[in-house]
Amino acid sequence: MSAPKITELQPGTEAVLVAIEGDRQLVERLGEIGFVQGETIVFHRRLVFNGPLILEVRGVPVALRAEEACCLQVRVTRT
Amino acid sequence: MNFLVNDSSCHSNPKSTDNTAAHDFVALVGSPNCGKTTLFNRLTGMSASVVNYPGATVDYMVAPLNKAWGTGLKIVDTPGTYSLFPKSPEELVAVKVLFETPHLGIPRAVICVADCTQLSRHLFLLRQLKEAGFPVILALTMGDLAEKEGFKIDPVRLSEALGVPVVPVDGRSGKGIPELLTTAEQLGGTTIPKPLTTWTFEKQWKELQTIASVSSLVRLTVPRTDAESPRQLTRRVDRVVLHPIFGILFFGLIMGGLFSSVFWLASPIMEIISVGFDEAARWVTGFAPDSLWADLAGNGLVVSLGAVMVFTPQIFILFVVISLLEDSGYLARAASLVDKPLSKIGLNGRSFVPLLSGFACAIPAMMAARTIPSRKERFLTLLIIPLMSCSARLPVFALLLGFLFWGKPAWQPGLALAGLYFLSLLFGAIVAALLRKRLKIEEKSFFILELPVYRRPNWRAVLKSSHQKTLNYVLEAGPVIFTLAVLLWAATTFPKYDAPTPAEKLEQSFAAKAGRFIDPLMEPLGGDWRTGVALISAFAAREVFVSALAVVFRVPEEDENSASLLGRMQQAQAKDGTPLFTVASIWGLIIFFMIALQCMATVAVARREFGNWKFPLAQLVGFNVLAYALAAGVVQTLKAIGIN
Ligand SMILES: Nc1nc2c(ncn2[C@@H]2O[C@H](COP(=O)(O)OP(=O)(O)O)[C@@H](O)[C@H]2O)c(=O)[nH]1
Ligand SMILES: [Mg+2]
Repeated sequence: MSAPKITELQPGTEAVLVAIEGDRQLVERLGEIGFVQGETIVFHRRLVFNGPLILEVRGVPVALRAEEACCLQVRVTRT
Repeated sequence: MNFLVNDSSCHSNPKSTDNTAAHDFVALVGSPNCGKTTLFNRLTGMSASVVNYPGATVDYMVAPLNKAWGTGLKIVDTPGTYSLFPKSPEELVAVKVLFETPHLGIPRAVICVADCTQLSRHLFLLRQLKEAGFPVILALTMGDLAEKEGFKIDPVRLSEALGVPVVPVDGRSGKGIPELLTTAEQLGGTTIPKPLTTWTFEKQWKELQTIASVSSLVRLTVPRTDAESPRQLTRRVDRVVLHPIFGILFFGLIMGGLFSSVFWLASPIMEIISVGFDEAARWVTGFAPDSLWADLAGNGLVVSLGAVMVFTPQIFILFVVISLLEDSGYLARAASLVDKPLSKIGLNGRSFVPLLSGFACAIPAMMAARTIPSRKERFLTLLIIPLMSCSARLPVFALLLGFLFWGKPAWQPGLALAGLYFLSLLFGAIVAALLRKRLKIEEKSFFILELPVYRRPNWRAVLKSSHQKTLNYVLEAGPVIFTLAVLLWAATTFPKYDAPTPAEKLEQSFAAKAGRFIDPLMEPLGGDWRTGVALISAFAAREVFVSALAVVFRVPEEDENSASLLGRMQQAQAKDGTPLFTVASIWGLIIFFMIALQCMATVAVARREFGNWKFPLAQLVGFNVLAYALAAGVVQTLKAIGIN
């Protein structure tokens, strides 16, 4: 069974990134910002009208669309 | 993305490196919002705009080192970039400065600026710079914020771990700058840096691991001074500001406040300026009541200059409010909130800041669009920026609304102005939605935006930069207004300057004769040649419309006590003796100014940002034709339903 995507979880979840899969450009950029395997991220909230997700990585909140966040496969550590 | 520079074609031109001018500049690079521009301003004594938004600097800037620090060095500020593999045009600018700016040569040293509180992310670029072979210094900013968070970075250990000099600095106070410069002097590139080609995911991952362990190694805990750290405060504020209901309310409140404050905060100051210029005009003409020169000086120059200067308080306030928003850190939140709605019309959350700046001026706004990675979204944003109601339209709208709301309390035209701003936004949205299908560029779009910590805006910097921008506006518009005022004065005075009545003088003038040709064109807009002349002058600069009206209508008609321009507009009569300016014709003018692209400087910048002539020309022709057609449509409809 593959790991759930962060977008499938509820806001408030804390999780560890297990894999990042998707468009090369996108994965590269996500990595530069700090989204790399083994990193803990916090899913703070989803903005109104199904807008971007607010994820915290290495202490910084980052807004990203669900399309981008789909790349992030995680293992839930705290809900 | 087609502007990536992973290929060698965009990279260093070997000839540039043996340039004699080489080695005399130091480049500041670093991730977005890490404090590069603050440091640059401190080093050079410049006042480039410092903004708490990732993506405020979109072009590189070169300036000599301030004498106070030493001589002989040039400092280059660059747009923020996360890595040497750029993903948007503004990041590309930063990378190009490092590798291929022939007139700059190669940098003597590269100062990699990193935020202490984000070391584990910001060191990534440093590792790449080092690998590429640049002589690098690490400048650590935001030490004060780190201490508030309860830690501190040990520069000595960090320097050992990384193998580069490390200097803690504070661009705001100038702390650490002497050390930074001495270190830079001692460095000096001997090898020629090469663009990175072998950068794989495994490598990126390993790098990030190394950085993470280095960052935690050099972290020392210190006692926290405040109960709440900036990051905690930010989290708490965001709970409200990003809330599904309160967040939207707050957004509406901020935007509504922004646009209506422009009117009501400014009106008392405008009153003073207006009275002042009226007095001045009377005083000047009083010297020699019947001479031509006094008429030129008083009714030509003073009046037309006054007609435009009256609006500087509004422009200043608009700049202040926008800078306050920028400096607080709210803009990144606003951009995230509107990403969804904007993506529905083919734009991006990152279009928000360029569009908002478009309300001040289209030129910096178009440059700000460089932060949008996808070409399609960037082009759409560039296309609709000229529709945003820029500050040059403000005098025109203020005058026209002043006419519509004659004698009403100030909040009414204020609200109407906010309505116009909203209307221009709505119109832009419609245009974007219509064009998105026609724009045949297929490119993946993404939206990833860091949300910076909130900061208390620096009032002094805000006032200083707003003052500077307003001054620039006056200095740029001033000569145009001046020249056109003289030309129009002459055209409306000669050849029958000694006619018995002012009305006859105007009727016989060159302007009136030439104006007959545009009369038929003005007919559908409910105007005559006089409005036509003012409209055409507005292509020199939009605000000239106001001063042109002031000159053309300086001749009082029957009623002698119509002193102000508004008063004279009320008195103005069409050929058949009915009032020239009616509710219908004023609305026509408003619509025309809302849409028309009259600013040639914008067209020139659009050419550069689009990279071709096709789009700017389409914009120029399209918007002007549309403006005319819609304005005529509105006037005729209003007339038909009996509003006049
Ligand atoms: N607390 C603190 N704030 C800083 C420091 N340096 C810069 N800033 C603020 O950080 C924000 C971003 O600065 P800026 O120079 O525009 O960053 P750039 O994007 O790298 O050019 C602004 O709000 C600055 O006032 C610092 O050392 N400490
Ligand atoms: Mg900057």
